[in-house]
Amino acid sequence: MAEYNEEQILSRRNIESPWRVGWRRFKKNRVALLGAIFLIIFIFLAVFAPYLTPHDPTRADFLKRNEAPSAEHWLGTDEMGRDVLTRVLHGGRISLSVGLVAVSITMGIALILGPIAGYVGGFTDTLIMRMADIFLSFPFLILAITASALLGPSIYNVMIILGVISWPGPCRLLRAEFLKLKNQDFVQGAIALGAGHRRVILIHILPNAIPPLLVAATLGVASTIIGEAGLSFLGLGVPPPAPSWGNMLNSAQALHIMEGMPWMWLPPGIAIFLAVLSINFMGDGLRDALDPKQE
Amino acid sequence: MKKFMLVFLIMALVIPATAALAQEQEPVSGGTFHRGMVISPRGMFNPILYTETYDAEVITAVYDSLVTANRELEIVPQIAKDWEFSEDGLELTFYLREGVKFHDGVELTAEDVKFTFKTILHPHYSGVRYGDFAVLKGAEAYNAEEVDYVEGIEIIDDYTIRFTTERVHAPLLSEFTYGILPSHILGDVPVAELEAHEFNQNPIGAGPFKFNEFRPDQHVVLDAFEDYYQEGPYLDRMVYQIVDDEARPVYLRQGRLDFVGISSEQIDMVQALDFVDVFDYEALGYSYICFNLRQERFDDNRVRQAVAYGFDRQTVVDIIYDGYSKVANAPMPTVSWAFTDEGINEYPYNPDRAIELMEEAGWERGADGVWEKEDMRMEFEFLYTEATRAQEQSMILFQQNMEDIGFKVNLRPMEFSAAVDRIDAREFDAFTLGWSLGVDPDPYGIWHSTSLWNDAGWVNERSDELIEKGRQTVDQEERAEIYAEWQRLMNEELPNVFFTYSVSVAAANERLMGIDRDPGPQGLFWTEILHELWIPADRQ
Amino acid sequence: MMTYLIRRVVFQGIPVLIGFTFLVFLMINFAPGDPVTHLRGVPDLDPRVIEQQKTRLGLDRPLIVRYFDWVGELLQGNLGRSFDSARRPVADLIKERMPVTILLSVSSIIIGWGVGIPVGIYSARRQYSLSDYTITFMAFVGVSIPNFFFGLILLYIFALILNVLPAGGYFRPGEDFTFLGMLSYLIMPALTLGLASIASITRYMRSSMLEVINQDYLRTARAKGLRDRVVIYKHALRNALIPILTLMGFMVPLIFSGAVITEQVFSWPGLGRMVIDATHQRNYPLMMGITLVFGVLTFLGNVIADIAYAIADPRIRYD
Repeated sequence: MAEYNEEQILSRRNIESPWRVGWRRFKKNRVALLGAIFLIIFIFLAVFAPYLTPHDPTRADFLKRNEAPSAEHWLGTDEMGRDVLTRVLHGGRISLSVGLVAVSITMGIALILGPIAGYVGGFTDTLIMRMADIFLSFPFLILAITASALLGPSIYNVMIILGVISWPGPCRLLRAEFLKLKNQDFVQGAIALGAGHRRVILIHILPNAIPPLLVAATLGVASTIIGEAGLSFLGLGVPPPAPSWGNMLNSAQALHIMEGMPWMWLPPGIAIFLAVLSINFMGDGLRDALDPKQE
Repeated sequence: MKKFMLVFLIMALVIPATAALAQEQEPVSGGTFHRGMVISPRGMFNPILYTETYDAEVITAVYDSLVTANRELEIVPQIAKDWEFSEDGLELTFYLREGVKFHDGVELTAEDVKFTFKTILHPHYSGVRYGDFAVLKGAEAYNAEEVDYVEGIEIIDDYTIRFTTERVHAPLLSEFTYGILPSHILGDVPVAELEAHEFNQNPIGAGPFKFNEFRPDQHVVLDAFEDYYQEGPYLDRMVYQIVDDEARPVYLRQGRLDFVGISSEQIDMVQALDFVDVFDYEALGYSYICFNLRQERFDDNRVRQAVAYGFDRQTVVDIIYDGYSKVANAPMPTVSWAFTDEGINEYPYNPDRAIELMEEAGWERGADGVWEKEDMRMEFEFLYTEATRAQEQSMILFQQNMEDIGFKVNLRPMEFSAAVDRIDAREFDAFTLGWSLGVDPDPYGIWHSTSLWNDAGWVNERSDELIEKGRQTVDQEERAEIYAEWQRLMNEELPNVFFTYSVSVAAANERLMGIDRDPGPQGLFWTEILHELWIPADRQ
Repeated sequence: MMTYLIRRVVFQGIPVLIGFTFLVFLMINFAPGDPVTHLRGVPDLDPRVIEQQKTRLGLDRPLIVRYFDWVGELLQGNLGRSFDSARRPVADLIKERMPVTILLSVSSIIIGWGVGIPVGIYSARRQYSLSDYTITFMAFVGVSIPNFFFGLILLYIFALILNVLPAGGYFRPGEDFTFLGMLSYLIMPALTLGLASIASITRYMRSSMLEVINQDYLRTARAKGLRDRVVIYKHALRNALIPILTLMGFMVPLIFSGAVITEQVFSWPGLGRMVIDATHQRNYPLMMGITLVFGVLTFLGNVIADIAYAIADPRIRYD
């Protein structure tokens, strides 16, 4: 028994798991690594935001409005006298959670519909793919505007809207993986050996479909953050007083702020830019690392 | 966004009065006047069918009406050179000027006046103005298709027309500020088809400017009407340019606009331009906080007074609006002749007084500091519509102020349509909106207990009595006294917590002559001055 | 080819259009508020008027019936009348704004492809060089800036500070229509809208080109002594372009989405501005009309991409 186990361990060591290959490749990609490090810093700042500055992100103090950066307020104050640095940190919490939750919703839908379409095939497949076409072939903003009129502005609705709207991409991806893997020998073998559908899907196919999905999810977070900013511009993003990078950046819409008070829009602008850039670099690195075609 | 009282809002852009620079020189003809507009008109350029203020701006220039309002909100002659009420106040006779022409050269007569107002009463009329003229004798019978004439509209001769009402109706004269339509063009069009008629996009009126072109979301172009019956117009052309609200200072800086309203935040930027004058004037309207009095917890004026004392409205005015606003304590704009500040409590910011009032009313602070009484609790949802930054900031200050006096406010920003849906269904705790008002001070439409727009659900016999009495009193001084008493009642009862009177700010290129730039307490309506505007020859 | 197109339109285009319009119809109808909210505040309004107006707009009929009414009218080429106070035909409203939206979208596509493809090729040919790294980095930067923000910055620099371009809008009355004039209005919005396309096309072109360059037949061609330039432009480009063409289909809806925001930033008098307004006003016929137009245009974009695909790659046959 013990011997057998050891042998198994040995063989595992010889045949490196795709994840380890990926990690090895990823490490070598300096830009992607830098992206990952930045992202970790952003997440750290977001998680510990309440402990990093002494100010309240939403409490207005009208005696201190529009103050330029100073020793007390490193990035100045906004039109309601709130500390901009504090709001950028808390905004990171909100923007990143919008990104993560929305992408989770997207992936949740894709994980249900994609495998069904790919594995079951036939009419079910056609139906799901037509639905995907409908979502893919129309300007998502029109859907988003209508949906936010329907649901009303709130952070949860922003998450739901951005999440639901982008399901077709990853869904197609999963379906394609399932179609491809379903007909491969090892899966057909497992089916022939009497493995149930659940087992085939969960054990044999799904794990192989995870890497591309992970890449899609990472890039999805980036585009969701940009999407939230776009919705904020139209007044459909995260509603105030809660700060999000998008609704803070939106203050640049006012020329007097754009011109005279750059401390209000520059920090959230840079934050969005850096966060999205890091996530994109990381996602790109992940793609290179996990794609078996790349050698 | 505001809720609009649409009737006379036409002239909502009021410009200050008194001594003007323009008087120093003689007006000359020529030039194009570029006026900025933030939202595009819809293209319903028909004075009896439009409902939106941006269409109204254009209508004001294209059509003239029997009478119009001046800067003191008094009714003054336009097409009608004079008018008189009969002894009993039931008959109103207009004497029209002779030689007033439509843009196609046809003379305007009493027939056109009759046609315009009779159409509003027609059973197939698709607009919303029926209520304004329902008081005319025989209006209901005509509207119910019982007869094919309106008894209360009577042509005496080509230049004389008489309107008769069922009962004395003081605001009647001010209803005749709607533009006059040409019956020789529309007379044969079935009323039901009027709405879709191409005339509405190619209007012909008797105003100082002829319609030329409308490009939605871009501009409206009007040309001078040479045969206008009054002095002028001096301008060759008038262009309404649609511009993004945030881009207004840039357009002014580039010299692409001669006149545009600006936000108080943009004042500093615009004032830096030495060729642009900035001035402000009080608009006809007020904002308010409405509580749902159908809920027992709000149905006690001490609670509402506590809110008034506890909300630092002066800070909103001084800091958020930079002084370009005014605290309101009763629902009557200060520009109106009916306004009074005698015996009006100003409810200065006083959180201690607010707390005292709550205690007097029998409320006690709960464990979390929020007022409680029996099974009631002072925590409520507060609707406001997607707003400007300044409005947004006011709401946040409100929430904070309320927290300090034990009211827990859950802010809920909403889209206008969605908010109105909740308000109409009476499914709300509290909300804030604003009213824009007409020239006549009659508060019936908003404050009478039977009014459709009585959102608060406020019923008060004395108030109804005063409102009805005010409507039936023709003498302005007497009427003003009635409304003064009514304002004191409203100020004490606070069915709404009144918030601010809005002040508008506008910027004009210095080359634009004929408008007064000296800020006065009351404005000057566009209708009265459009034909008098001019641009010096060397700057055209 | 023809049969393919017909099949594509009938079996794919139409069901998708029906699905989408129905989806939008349901959502907009379930949204709180109705098209007569603008009556709010009309003093002395007879409550009957509200009901009358609703009846006139057909709002008293059941939801499903109204949808099929709309489809029925559509089949007769009628998009109905807008619900706003001017009650103008939806078709007119769309016709007024469509040309400018198309001008903006097409310009941004031209900018995106015109810049993205050559830069992508350049970058691929100098793989791992400094300029390749710079280009790749800039492409990432391009997709990491929210486009309204990019637009605002352009507006700030070129209109406000330098005062060389108009601050949005489109031809003023009395202004002569000149190509240069049009360009001065178009350049900033088109660049704003095109930014993301430039970035993504560059990246796709680069990787597509690399994939082709490294394929055997090209190595052979080079080994046979064909000049690099000939190899690249004659053989590689054609093959590398094929996957890029399919991108076009995907990018059309993104461009329209972007147009909604860009038009807002630059007061561009197009469909994007109108659709936002129509939604807030609960102007159902106008919403549906614009939705349909966007849908058809997107679908056409996809079909054009397919045809281009077939032309570029002789191996592909549609039948």
